[in-house]
Amino acid sequence: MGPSRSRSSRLEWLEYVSASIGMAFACSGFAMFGQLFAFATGWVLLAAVVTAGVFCGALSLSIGELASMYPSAPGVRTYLKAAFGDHFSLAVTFAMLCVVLLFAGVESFAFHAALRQLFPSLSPMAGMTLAIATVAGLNLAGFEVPRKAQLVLAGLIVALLVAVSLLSLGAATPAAHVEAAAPAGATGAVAAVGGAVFLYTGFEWVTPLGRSPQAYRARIPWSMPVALSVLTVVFGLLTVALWRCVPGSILRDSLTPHIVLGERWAGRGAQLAMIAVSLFATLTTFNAGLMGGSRLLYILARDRRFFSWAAHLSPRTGNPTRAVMAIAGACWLAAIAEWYLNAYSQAATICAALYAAVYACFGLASAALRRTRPSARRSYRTPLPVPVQLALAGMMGLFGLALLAAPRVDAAAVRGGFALIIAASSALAFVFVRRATAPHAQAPAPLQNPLEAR
Amino acid sequence: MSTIDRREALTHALSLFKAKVNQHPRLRTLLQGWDRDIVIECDDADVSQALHVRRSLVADVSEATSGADVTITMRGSHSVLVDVFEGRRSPATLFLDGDLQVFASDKDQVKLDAIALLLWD
Repeated sequence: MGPSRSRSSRLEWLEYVSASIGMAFACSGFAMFGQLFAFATGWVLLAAVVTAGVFCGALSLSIGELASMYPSAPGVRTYLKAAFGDHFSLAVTFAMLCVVLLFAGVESFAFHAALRQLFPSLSPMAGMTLAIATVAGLNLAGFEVPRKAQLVLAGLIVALLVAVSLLSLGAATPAAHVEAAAPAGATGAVAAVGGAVFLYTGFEWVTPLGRSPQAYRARIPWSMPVALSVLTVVFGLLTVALWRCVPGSILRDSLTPHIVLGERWAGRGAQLAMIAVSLFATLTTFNAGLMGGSRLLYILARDRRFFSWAAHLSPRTGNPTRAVMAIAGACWLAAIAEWYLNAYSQAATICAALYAAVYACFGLASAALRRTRPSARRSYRTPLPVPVQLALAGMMGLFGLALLAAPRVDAAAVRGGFALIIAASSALAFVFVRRATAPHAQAPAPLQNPLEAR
Repeated sequence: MSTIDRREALTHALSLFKAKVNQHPRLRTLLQGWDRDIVIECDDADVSQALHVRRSLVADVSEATSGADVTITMRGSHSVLVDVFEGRRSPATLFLDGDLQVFASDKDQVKLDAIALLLWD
């Protein structure tokens, strides 16, 4: 391998690491910090954030193995179908699409909250609509953030967060804290780990992005733990800075604690830097979420696991316009509903619990496939033995359950919302699998010309 | 089936595909401005071919050259690839099942699927 080939290979690997980091940064993740400070604070919260990062890192090795078995495949649907069958995998895929909708509401409102620091008269409706319409427009135009730009954006976000955290810690005498380390008790401390998982979610979205089969031997699998190590350091530093410099009473009510931190302790420049972080985070993650969601919906429709109208393509660009508009419209409705009901905290908690469950499923899938398909080709194998993978999956599930079980005034709404999504996803999966596998559906009539259908 | 037979079978499937794409008037619009070199690799045989899309047409089918800078790689077993290019099996289902791998940007993946959708569904 010549020096230029080796340099290009390193650059490619860096692009994977930055994509994994970039997908995890989101305005809604910062908003989750307020929730975390309601469960725990101080060293307990720092331990929770680090523990969540370590667990995600360990599980990412199992995800890397699954990706090496099914390179380029849309992870959640393919891995879980291979391990647990069509019904289960489709139910989890629909649940993930629900997460995209809930996440969009939290993300667009947190984005609006960040933008309002610059434009105080911006209404929530206008801010959220602007966020969703911009991202939908970019998707319809077929715009993708170039990989090198993603690398620069991820590097900027990391550098700005680390700089503001360190600057804040060094700038002033820490605020006095008299709060208990775990305001919500032991369950709250475990729930904080479940909530902290939400900070890292999205890191696995790098798995379909490999440029070649060779990328799945090491570059893609190892990009995730490396990205998670960077994220753990960044979120750990931010946790300490928030804890030491911003009173808990402010944190618990804030959707933009990083901006509060910048403003309080490092001045207007730092506040603007944190607003820039919010905008970059939304541009990369929200765009990827909406794009990924619409592509998933499109391909499910092509596989007759969703309504066939979602398989329509633009005759000019070949973009799945109806899937994009359906996802964008549903995201907008979810955003309005969350705003009307003031349900951001509940929506973020449900997303976090669902994500913890999905990561647990990935761990179980990797272990299950070792047993059911021992001789299948794996260009990468997690160094963790199967019992450890199972234990990690079990713990991740436990964190998600603790998040649902944690004492809070709106616990019924959170548990009800979670149960509703599980029930609705399972019902949809049952209906679509049954429809697709019914005898009369085996040889379907040709679709209306998808490029011309109106 | 020997490697030579497999190569011939894949070349035949790709040639049929080329003819179908080039005869289809609506694909001209879809392929406008989409000049790509697509490598098709068998993962169970030492066979790889390339499709060259130029000026809204599949201009050529050739042996893939190693080290060439390609933006799209499709990979699967020989039978899967032949079935896909002869329109016998749905690439979307094969992709979801992990039997067909497509290394490309999201946009290029959807474009490839759009071609299949227009030709065979």
